[in-house]
Amino acid sequence: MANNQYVVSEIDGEKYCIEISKVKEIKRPKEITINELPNTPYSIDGIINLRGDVVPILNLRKKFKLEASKISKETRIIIAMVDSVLVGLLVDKIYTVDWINTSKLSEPLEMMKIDSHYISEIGSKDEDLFFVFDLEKLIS
Amino acid sequence: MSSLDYLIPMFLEDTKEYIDYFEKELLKLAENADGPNAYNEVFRITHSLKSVSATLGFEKMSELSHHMEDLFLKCKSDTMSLNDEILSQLFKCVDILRAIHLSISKSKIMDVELYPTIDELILDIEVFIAESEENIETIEIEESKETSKETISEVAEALPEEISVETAKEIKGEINDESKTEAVEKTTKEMCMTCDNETTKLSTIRVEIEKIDKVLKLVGEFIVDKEILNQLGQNLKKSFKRDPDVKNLLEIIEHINSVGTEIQNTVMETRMLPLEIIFDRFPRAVKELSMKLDKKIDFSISGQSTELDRGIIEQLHDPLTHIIRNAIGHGFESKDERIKQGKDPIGKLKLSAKYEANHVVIEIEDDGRGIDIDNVKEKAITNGLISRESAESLSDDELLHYIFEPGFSTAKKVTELSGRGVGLDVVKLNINRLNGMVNIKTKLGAGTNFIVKLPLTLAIVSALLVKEDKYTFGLPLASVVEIIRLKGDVEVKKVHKIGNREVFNWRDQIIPVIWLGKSFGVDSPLSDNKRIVVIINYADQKYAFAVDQISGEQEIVIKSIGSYIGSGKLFGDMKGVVGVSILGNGSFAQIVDIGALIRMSTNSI
Repeated sequence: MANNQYVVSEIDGEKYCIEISKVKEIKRPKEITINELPNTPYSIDGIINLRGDVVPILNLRKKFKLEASKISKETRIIIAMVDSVLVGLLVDKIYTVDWINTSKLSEPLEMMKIDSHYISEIGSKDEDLFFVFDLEKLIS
Repeated sequence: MSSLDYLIPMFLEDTKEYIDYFEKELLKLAENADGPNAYNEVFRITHSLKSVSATLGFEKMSELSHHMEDLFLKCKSDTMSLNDEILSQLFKCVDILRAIHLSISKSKIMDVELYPTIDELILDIEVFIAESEENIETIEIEESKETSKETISEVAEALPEEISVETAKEIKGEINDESKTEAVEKTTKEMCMTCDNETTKLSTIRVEIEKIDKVLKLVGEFIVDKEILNQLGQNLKKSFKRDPDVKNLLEIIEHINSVGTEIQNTVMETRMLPLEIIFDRFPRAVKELSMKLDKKIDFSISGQSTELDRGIIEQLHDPLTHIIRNAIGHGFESKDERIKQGKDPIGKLKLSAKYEANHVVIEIEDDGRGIDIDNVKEKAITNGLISRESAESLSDDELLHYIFEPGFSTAKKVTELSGRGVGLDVVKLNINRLNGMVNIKTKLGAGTNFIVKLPLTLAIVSALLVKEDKYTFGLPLASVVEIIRLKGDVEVKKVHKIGNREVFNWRDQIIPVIWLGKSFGVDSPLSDNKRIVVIINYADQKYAFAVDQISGEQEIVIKSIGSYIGSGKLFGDMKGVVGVSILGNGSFAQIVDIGALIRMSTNSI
């Protein structure tokens, strides 16, 4: 059991968490231009210019093979630092930033919409379930 | 004092260098102290020591240096000469300076216990100087002003070249009017000024590399912004042709362009280092390895003063070491074998570097057994790198490049020396990362020549920008030979199909055609006969790159995306791109890895 502060995002109605220490910033898609890159996997929307740094944008809906949705007012890009490289994660919206008690995910849960391979821990609060991303697995 | 504490590490480094150098020069003087010029160096060093110690408030140290400086000034002006007694006191000065250095490096302050010894030395020097002045006075009384004038003109002439003839004349002129002491004072001042100039030239300032890297990064951003400015300026020019402010703006932009280029060049220059730094490490490595393998090798190095960006130099050691080890391990035959073939039993290994246009070319040449191309072909086929069919259609040079492919090793078994799982593919990868390329020339039985071609600078290159559908690609301008528009039938007819390969007739040379867009899975909306062909020179071979549209030429800053490429990484196994760069309009261009693209397209046939 660990109590950590997380940035909680929402994808297809489920709540996914990223440890706050790994999050650099959160951007709105309209603030930046996502430039497409040929010859990249389907889940890569492109790259952005983040003050001179090149950051790839990973569309998590596409990554999880969920139905693609249009970029809305609520869509956000979470810029995270994983293994000393920057990556932008495109999510439906930001739900909250909060302290959550989590524990290791020992076996896949049936109600999960995505591959449990990408989830390292799970927690609950106020009857909501929170899945913590395994960022290293997410970007490989 | 404490406010200057941050300067102490630099001070310590500088003074250590000064003291060591001073001792060395002093030893030279002890051997031979002919003429006033002999004292230039020691005078300069003591002067520098005086200045730096005074700056940081180490007064005693400054005082001692000041006296030493005075002493050498007398020597320079020929009014005294170094005898053994003075020399031994000077060596004591060196010792005490070292002691001071040590105490400052330990506790950031001068040990007060050193003061008495310093005072003693200062007193001794004062005595020496006083004695010499007594001598001078007697001469002065006897001789006319004329002599002193001469002495001083001599000094003036003996000054380092930096002092211009004018200054020398000035001094001479002043001597006529002013009294001797004043003139000497003046000369001293002038000399000190010269010294300051010289010091900065000789003993460079130490700057942390992070700082230069930061400046370079900022310059990179500045270049990107500059390009955006240029773009905006052009847009404004179109919209507001007559506006005087726009005209002013464009002029300013023009100026920014030239200043920008200069800043960039200067920063790049500060990062330049001679190849010596890595070349010097090789003789020992060669010696050790050749002894271990019982091969006799005559290793020669030339062009080690060729300069390259330090970022490149740092990355160069490993690949060069690899090539050299390879040459010793595989390239050279055993002694007996060489004798049997009528070769000199001592193998010749040459490492050389030279400038070539905007590049530095490093060659590693051996006179060993050479590479057996048939062997390479078989190996490439057995390892599944190429089909037998396509292998047959490749030239020897093209086949040779397969030794740089991952999973290729011609060595019969992995030895301790050359194995270790890394091969020439890593060499090539490392060199490519630096925007450089490797080429091989080999002759069976006669030897192999590895040619590494590197850009002078790392991050900023000129690129030809081409458009394929909505994507922009950058081709390194240095490899572009010619741009040909395929309009009308005449030009289109120059494209032929031979078997599966498309070739282009370029100046009666048949060269392969590579479709840039298709190589990246981009479909072109244009019909084939509206294409543009860019003739590219790669490893002394020409290739015709067919592209959609040329969108211009630009200085670009390459941003690596290497950390996202590879199996299991975000972009997957993306090939053919060395990096991306941000363009004037804020979009990106992908910088094409020409070598990889050529190999990609030869493989896909």
